[in-house]
Amino acid sequence: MGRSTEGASMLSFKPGGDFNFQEKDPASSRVWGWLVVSVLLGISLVLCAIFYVWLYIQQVQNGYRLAKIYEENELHSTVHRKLKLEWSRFRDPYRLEEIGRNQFGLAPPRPDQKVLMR
Amino acid sequence: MESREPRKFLTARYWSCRVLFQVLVIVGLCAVLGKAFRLQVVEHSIWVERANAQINTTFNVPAYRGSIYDRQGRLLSYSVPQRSLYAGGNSIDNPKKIASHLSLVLGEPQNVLEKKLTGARHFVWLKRHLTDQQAMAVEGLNGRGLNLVSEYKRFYPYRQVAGQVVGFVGLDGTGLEGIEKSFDDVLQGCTTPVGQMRDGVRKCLWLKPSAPPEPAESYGVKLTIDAFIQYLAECELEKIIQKYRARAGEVVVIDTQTSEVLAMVNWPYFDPNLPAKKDAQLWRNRTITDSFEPGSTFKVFLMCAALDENKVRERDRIYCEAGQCKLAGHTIKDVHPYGWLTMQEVIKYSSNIAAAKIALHLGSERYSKYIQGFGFGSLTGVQLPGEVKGLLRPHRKWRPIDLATTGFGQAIGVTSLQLTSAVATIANDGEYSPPLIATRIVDSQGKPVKEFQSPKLRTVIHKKTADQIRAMMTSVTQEGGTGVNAVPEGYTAAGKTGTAQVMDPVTKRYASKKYTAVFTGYIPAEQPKLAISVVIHEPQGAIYGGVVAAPVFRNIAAKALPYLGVMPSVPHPAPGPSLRQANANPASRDKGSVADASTVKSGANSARQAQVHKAASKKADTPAVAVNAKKSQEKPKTSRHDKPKVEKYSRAEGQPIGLY
Repeated sequence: MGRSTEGASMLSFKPGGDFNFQEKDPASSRVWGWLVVSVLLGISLVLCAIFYVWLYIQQVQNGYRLAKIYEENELHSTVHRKLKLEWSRFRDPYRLEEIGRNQFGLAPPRPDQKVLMR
Repeated sequence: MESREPRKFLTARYWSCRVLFQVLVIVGLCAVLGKAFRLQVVEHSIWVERANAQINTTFNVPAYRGSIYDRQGRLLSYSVPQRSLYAGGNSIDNPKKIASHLSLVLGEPQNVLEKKLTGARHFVWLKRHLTDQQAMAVEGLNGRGLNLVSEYKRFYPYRQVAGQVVGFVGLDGTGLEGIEKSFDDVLQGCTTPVGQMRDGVRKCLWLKPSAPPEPAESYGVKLTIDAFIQYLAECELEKIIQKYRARAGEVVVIDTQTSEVLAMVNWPYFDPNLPAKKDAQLWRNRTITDSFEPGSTFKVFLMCAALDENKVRERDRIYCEAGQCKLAGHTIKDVHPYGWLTMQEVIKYSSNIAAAKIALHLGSERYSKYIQGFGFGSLTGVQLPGEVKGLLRPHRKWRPIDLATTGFGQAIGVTSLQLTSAVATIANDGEYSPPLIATRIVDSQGKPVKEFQSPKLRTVIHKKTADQIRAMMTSVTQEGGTGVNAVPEGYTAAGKTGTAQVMDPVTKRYASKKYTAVFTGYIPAEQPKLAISVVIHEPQGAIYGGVVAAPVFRNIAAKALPYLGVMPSVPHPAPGPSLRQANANPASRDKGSVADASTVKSGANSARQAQVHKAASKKADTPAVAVNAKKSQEKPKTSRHDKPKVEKYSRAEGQPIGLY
C-alpha cells in the first residue's frame, strides 16, 4: 500500500476549473499509510486476542463439562455394576427355589403326579 | 541582590523534578523487575510447586477386582463400589447428637459411635461398606467432620454355591481363601492415578487433549465348576446328611474326558457374603484339605496294581478264609464270610481278606508305585490353596500288617479330590490327568487371555487292565453288588463302595461308632462322562457306603447327565404303580389322554427295581450265608464254598478291621 503511493504525484481535477496540478506531500502520505496499516494490525491483534480468550474460556467450560460427564459416567457405571449384581442374584438357584416354593407354592412332583411320555 | 531569572529557575526546577521522577520510575521499574526476577527465576520452583498444588489434583481411576465366573459364565464373585463412612475425630461439633442420628441410620449402638466420635484420633472408621440407603441418609445429616469415601465390596451372588471353592477377600480386597486367594495376582485390580485440574472452589475440570480414562475391571477367572451341577450336588448331599445326621460330607464331580472339576461340594455350607469368616471349620475346602481313610474303595487300586503287574489274573480265585484269618500277626475279618472268590467277586463283594492277601502277594514296593501313580500321597496341583498330600508313608517303613491293611484302604489317607481323580484315571483308560479348577483367564469383556488345560501326565495302568477293572467296578453296581443304589434309572454305572472306621484323635484307636461312608465311581459305565465321589463323615443310623453315599451318587448323576446332554442308554422300565403313562400322540393328547391317563400297574421290572434298591441295605444286615447259598445253587461249579462251609456269621464276634 505504501509502495503504491510512494513518490507518486497526485493529479487532481476540479470540475469547471483548470487543470490543477497539486503534488501531495509524500511524507504525509506515508504516515497515513502507516497509520492505516497500524490500525488494521491493531484491530486484527485485538480480534485475535479476543478470539484466543474466547477459545480459552470455551476450553475451560468444556473442561468442566468433561469432568462432570466423567463423574456421571462413573456413576452410571456403578449403577450398571449394581444392576448386574442384582441380575446375578436373581439367578441364584437357591433363591429361585425359595421363590418357587414360597411365592408360587411349587414343589417337586410326587410319584403320582409324574406322567411318562412315550 | 542578584535577581533570579524565573525562566531559568523554572527550567532548572523542572529538570530536577523530571530527573527525580525518571529516577523514581526507573527505580520502581527495577524493583518490579527485581521482584519478577526473584519470583520467576530465583524462586521459580517453589512457586510452580505451589501453583501445581493448588490447581492440580490426582484422582485414582478405579480398577475393579476381576470377577469369577462358572463354566457357563454365571457370576460367582463380583466387586461393586460402596461407600464407607469415616470421621475426623476433632472436627465433630456435637458428637452425642451425631451419634444418636448415626445410630438410627447405621444400626450401630450409640455409645460405640459416640466413643469413636469423641476419640482423639484424627481418622476413625465409623462403618465400612454402607448400603446406598445408609449412604444417602448420612449425606442428609450434613454432619461436619463426617466423610464418605468410595470403596469396593466383594459380592457373591450365588451365596453358598461353591462357597468354599470361590473363597473370600478381606476388607482391603485381598484374596484370603479359595480361588480369590490362589488367583489374587490376576484378580487384583490396580488403580491408575491420573492428574486433573481444579479451580479455587475445588471444582474439577479436564483440560488434557485425551479423554479421561474409564474405570476398568481387572482380569477375571473362569472356573470349570458348573453352578447348576454344584447346586444339585449340594442339595442331594444335604438331604442325605440330614437324613443320617452326619457330621460332614463332601462330593467331587469330575469330567472324565477333560479332568475338569464340575462340582466340589462341602457340607456344612459356607456363604462368603456372611461375616462368619473366622470359623475355619466352615470355609475350609475339605475336599482338598482333609484326608480320610478311603476304606474298601481302595481295593480297586490294589486290583489295578495286581492285574497290571500280572500278579493275579482276572479269572484267578482266592480263598477268603470264611470271613476271618490271621495275616501278618493280626486277625483280619470280612463282614460276610466268603470262600473262594474270583478277582471280580473280590471287588463286587468287597472282601478284606482277599484284598490283604493280594496286597501281601504284590509287595509294598510295587503297590506303593501304583498308589503314587494314581496321585495319592502327592498334591494334585489343583489351583486351590491349602491342598494336602494325604497320608502315605514311604513303602520301606511299611510293616506287613500295614501292607495288608492298605490293601483295603486303611493306614492310608486320601482326599476326596485325589480319590475322584484316581477313579477318573481308570475311566480314562489308565491315563492320569491332574484335575483342573480354572479353565481360563478372561479380560473384562470375557475374551480369553490365557487358557488352562490338563495334560495327560502319565499312564498308570495299561488299557487292558483298565478295561478289566471297569468291568469289575460295573459289577459292583449290578444286582448282588454293594453299590446297587448308585445306578440311576436308564443309565449304567461303575463304582466301589467303602465304609471306613474313623480314628479317634484322643485314644489313637479306631472309634467304635464312627465311620466314613464312601462311594466313588463313574457314569455311564460304557462311555464314562462323570467321575463322582461321595464321602459322608460319621453318619448315624446307617454306616455303609452303599446305603448312605451311593444314593447321593445316583441322584446327582440322574440330574447332571441329562443336563450335560448324556441321555439314558438303558431301555426305560415299565412305569411303577404310581407313575401315569401318557400317549405321546398329539391327537390323542388333545382328547385329554394326558389328564385321563390311567395308572399303570406295577410290572415285574418295577418290582425288580425295588428289590435291587433294597439289596445293599439288606446285605449289610443279612447274614451273607443266605446270599452265598443262593449263588452256589446258581453256579455249582464255581462255588465259593469249596472249603469249609460257614453256617452263620455273628457280628458280635468282634469288630472287623475292615468294612465294605
